[in-house]
Amino acid sequence: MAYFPLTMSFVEESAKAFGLGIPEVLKLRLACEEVFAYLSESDHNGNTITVEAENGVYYTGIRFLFDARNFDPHAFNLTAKISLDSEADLKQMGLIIASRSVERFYMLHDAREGLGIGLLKEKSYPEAGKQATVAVKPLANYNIVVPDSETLKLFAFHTILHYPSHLFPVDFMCPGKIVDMVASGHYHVLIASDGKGEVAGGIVWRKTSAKMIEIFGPYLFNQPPEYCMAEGLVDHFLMAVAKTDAVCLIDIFATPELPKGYFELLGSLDCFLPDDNKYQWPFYYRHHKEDLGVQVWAHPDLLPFLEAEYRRLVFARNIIPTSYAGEERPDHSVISPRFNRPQHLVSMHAIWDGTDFPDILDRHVQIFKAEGILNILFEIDLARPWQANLSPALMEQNFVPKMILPYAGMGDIVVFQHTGGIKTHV
Amino acid sequence: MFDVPLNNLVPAYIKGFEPYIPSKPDQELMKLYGCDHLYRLNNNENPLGPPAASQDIIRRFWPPKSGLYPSGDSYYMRKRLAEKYSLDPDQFLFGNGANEVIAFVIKAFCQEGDNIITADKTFAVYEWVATFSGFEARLVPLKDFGFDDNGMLEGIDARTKILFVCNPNNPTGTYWNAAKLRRFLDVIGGRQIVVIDEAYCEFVENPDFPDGIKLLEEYPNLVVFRTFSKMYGLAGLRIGYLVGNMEVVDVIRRTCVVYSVNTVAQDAALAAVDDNNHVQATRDLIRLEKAYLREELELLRLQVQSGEGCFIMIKLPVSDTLAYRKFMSQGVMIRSMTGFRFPNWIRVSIGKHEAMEAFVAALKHTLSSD
Repeated sequence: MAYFPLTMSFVEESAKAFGLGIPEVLKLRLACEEVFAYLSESDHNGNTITVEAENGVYYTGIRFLFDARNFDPHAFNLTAKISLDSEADLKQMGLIIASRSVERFYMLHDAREGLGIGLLKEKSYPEAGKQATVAVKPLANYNIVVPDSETLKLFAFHTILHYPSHLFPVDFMCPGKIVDMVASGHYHVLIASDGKGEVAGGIVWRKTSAKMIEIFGPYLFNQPPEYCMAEGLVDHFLMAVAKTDAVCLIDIFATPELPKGYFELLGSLDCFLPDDNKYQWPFYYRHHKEDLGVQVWAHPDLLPFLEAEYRRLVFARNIIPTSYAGEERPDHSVISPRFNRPQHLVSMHAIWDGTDFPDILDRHVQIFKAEGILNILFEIDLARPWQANLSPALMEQNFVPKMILPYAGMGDIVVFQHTGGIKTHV
Repeated sequence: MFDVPLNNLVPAYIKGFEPYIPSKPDQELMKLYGCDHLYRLNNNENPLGPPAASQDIIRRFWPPKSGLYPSGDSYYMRKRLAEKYSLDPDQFLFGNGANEVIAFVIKAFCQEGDNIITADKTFAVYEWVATFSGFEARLVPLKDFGFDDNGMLEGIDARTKILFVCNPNNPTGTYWNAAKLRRFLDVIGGRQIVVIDEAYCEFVENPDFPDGIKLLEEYPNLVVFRTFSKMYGLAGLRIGYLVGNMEVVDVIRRTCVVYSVNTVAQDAALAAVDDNNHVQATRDLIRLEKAYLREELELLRLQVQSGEGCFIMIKLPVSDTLAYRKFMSQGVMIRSMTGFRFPNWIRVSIGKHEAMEAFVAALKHTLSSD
């Protein structure tokens, strides 16, 4: 703890230098205080804790790298509760506070870098109002270009004006944030413009894993189909990413303008609405390269689904069965939820394996149901055998495998959807 | 065990570089895609294989010769080609396929801050080698599927060292005729090195197609690439060469890796070089099967880009990578073209009739199952 003041000073000054406002700096500092104190108190062997600060332009990231054999991460669960009577629980309280004080946290468990906890605190940005604006005219002649920051804000503004909120990233609500996110490399944008300030459409993408690019759009503002702007945007986007290391592309927020001939339909999810209606939520996909085939791990319970889907999608896969065989597992698992409020949806994935997984999963589902979240998903990565082994626990709790997202994680991801709410909402 | 500090060791231009991952061996692919045969129509290989004399050389190769180094600079090959083209043997440099000689040229002329110019949709190795060597690759869009001479000339600046023209172009099959190539070389006026990659030149029968080697005397800044991989069917043995003005080649030789062309490749190429019957038979087969394929594609009303060379490009109404998987599951391997920046196009090599029929059947099935 001798280094506590120095570490906190480093965190605070880094966050200020990277442009965080004072309220955000204080929240990040609080989170870091708790994590650093927890790690310092947990380690009695004098191991090194490395603290790194990252300027993400729209966020400041602080990463703690450490070496701890008995690190217990269960406090990072949304469902974590503590008893004020338990000393061990009180020790975890700091981590609960830390995880709630930042926008995102992640855990690192890597052979090269060891164990790590990352905390990301975002800058705050003003939301765009939906003030009236002049309608965009049809543009027969347009160029597809990378926008400057002012044009980018205009594009974000038109997008939120022309499309329902579930068809664009929530970040678009703050155009200034989009400018910073593009500067940081989080998003890439191409727009269709006449070069005189008129923005007629655009397409957005970002890398979501080492191998996958996620596309949003294409977005068109009052443009007739005969101008082929959607095709032009998709063509330019594909040429822009053609020689990157991405293996595949996915559009899960496809607008009606998406030219379907460029993509294949991976499948659809049932998306339930608060008014008891539901709609089919299509996932469009495009392989970026020739598929060389890979090996995936799968629990035997999941085999029939995988074999049928891989056959339907014509994917070459060598499926290796795996299951628990009495080996040692940690006590506590950690589940990370990702919310999509406009779609009343939460998507979970496991970031830490543990024997309490069924219990933690059940508690997450109960919390989401109590909050009125209608669409509950769980994703497992078939490149990780321990995740493949979660399939029976998921199925026992009414999660049904619905879709394969090829190469979406380290390997293929299987999306399970919770069916518990279907009777209520159909 | 040490942790290698890769972050500090790796240059930025390598970190951002995408490795090329070749396809798995046929047996592995057949197992993965569940097919019992595979027509390889993805690499523009000669369906007839090597000429008979080369095959004989390969069959009769004396195994103890494997223990000896090959001729380090392909001595007999250079001598033979010099006789054939009435040039000096020292005007030729051999490499482990034409890919290697691309690297020789770039290494010889480019230094930090320099750039090369080529097309955005052509054989990717010029761009790759420049980029992973830390040099800028300026890519000029094709015009009507062909290299844009004016666009390339406009892209030249004080740091431009080499212009690469693929003639005929892989994958579009377009070519610059003799007049256009001369005009281009005249404007360059010897200020930069111009590389004409003639990997597919033996497939072209049109009389206006230029022979780069014949232009060397007039244009000392010209370097011509040729290969034994395509027309001579020796792709598996990796042997290609460049030819140029004596002084230019003398510079390139300084970056040249010797001993990279193995003995069998040299002997097989030497046996192939004068086999005009093989060239004619290959041309006849390509002409016939290309015509058959064009007819079938016309019936399917698909957009086709078919020029010179042993390949055809086809635009599909579906994703080219989905088509690749569907073709593979039917035992036909084609090249998806997104990586060439031609989304939804495929390139199919011209093969024997049986392979072309299999391709057409797979294409029809793919289109009907969409």
